[in-house]
Amino acid sequence: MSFPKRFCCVVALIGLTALVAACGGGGGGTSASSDVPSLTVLPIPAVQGNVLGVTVDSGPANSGTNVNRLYTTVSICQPGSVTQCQTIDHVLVDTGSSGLRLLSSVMAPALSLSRVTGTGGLPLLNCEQFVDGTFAWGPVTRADIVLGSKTASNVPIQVIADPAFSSLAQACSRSGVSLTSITTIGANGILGLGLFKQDCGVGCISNTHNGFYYTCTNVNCTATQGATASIAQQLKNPVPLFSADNNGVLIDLPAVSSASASVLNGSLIFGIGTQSNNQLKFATVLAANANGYITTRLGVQSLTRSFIDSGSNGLFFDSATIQSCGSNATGFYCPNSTTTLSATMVDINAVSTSVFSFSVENASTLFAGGINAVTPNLSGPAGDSTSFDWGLPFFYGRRVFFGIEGMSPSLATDGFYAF
Amino acid sequence: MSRPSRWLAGARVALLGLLLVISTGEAMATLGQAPMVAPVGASATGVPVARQFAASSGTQSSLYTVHELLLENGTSVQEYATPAGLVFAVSWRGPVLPDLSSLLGTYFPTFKREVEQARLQGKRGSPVKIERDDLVVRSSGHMRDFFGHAYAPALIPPGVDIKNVLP
Repeated sequence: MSFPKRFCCVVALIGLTALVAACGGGGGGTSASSDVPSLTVLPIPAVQGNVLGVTVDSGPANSGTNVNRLYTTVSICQPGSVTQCQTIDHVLVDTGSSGLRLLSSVMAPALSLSRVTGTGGLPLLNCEQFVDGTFAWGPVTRADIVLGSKTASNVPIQVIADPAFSSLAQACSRSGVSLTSITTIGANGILGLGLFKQDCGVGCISNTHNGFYYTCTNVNCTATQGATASIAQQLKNPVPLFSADNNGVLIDLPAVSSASASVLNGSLIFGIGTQSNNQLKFATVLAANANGYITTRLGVQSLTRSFIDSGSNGLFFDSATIQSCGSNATGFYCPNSTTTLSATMVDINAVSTSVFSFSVENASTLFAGGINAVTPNLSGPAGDSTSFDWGLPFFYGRRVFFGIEGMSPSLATDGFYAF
Repeated sequence: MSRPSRWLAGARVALLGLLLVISTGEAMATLGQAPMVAPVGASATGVPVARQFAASSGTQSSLYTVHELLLENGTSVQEYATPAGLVFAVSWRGPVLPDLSSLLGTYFPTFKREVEQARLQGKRGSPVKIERDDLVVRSSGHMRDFFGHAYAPALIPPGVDIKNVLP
């Protein structure tokens, strides 16, 4: 649940070097108070151009069990500054959401980012629900988001589990489990690079009961109420805000030859068809509907609410024949022997299709010798007979494109997937 | 967003009383308790109905009733109750998850515990499938579109096949 903590942290900022008076706790993170992050000058990117390195590994320290989790390193700066910045590693790359969300406990207090306010002039608070029954809650602030050589300026981001607002999480917390720490998230933050430009979109512009945005009811911020949020105020996929290479992303991960591995390095490439390194070539473009869904045909099933999601750590679909694991691998499949299946993805116009096969391995066996961060054939039940959640294992050995809604009208009206 | 009508039309639910109300989310059905929605003809909240679903025509049944709420956040919730007024199942679909704490009532701590347990064991960012003797939960979707259902197997009325009840 939320932390009933009150305002903390006294920050002293002297010159360009931040001296930070540490305070206890933060958002429940595991780092010691002596590790309070400080500011740096914006680093020179390791790779120039439109490429950002990504890694599948076991996650940041003390982050629990992380399998098939794709991470990158994000820099944030005070808007307009290249000296008042912070670089944060192990931010989850999530094509199932939109917007940057960072844990309060890993953010340098000295950033002192300005808060976005709601219609009443009081802090705007964001509630983001995730399909796994968790949610992220915290105030919206503005920062420059720097991804390699690319900058999205003055973008609303969410500060997850900001202690000043944690006691107010009730409105959001009624949907499930609160993400408040590195341990619960398994990352230092979440970088949402999905098909949507904003987390909510037009649904939050005029409806105060939208479920995404809240604000304080009084200046002391002792309670919250639902709030409208204009498009400008909402959390955003930073990519469309880049000056170029801004119509989507390509996630390019190598194949994993063995049953599992401890680390896998790949690339997050910005833009689709804008540079020599992000051409679609022979990739099939699968236009998605307004909800980001395409259809997966699996045997006789036609799963009309299917999607490709780097933030899901397995391939999740319902099978009448593959048996689920016991308590040692809850939520995954444990077939007696590795099962290979064929699937077809179909776009919403039912004109574009892609056929391929995938394998389901026994998760209990895969986990038996110690859990490896890269586990390609990990699958589990979706708990739903209309969807196929193509998580990170789908990405291994593929170049998977995510076309952002409205950015490539010649290819799709809404967003699209391509691979 | 024409999906809800198609979705409902395809549902094989038996409708004894389908009631459309709009709610702020304060009043919702709770698993294992009486429906929060007033009987047909009564105004539950006094709030005018702002949006309508296309109601499906189903076989009449004396075994259970279906009540439907359309929340102001755009999410619809169905509650399935016995003739005696006990909610044995709930389902939802919409841009945000409903108030599962209210919806699941005394079953919510079990839901949370199961979600936490699955995360501890490495299942992250994926749909929820809870299959227990006392509680079954399915929750799927992604940002802007969530759908799922929950039921208490022990509360299902005799003669009702839960597969034919849920959307």
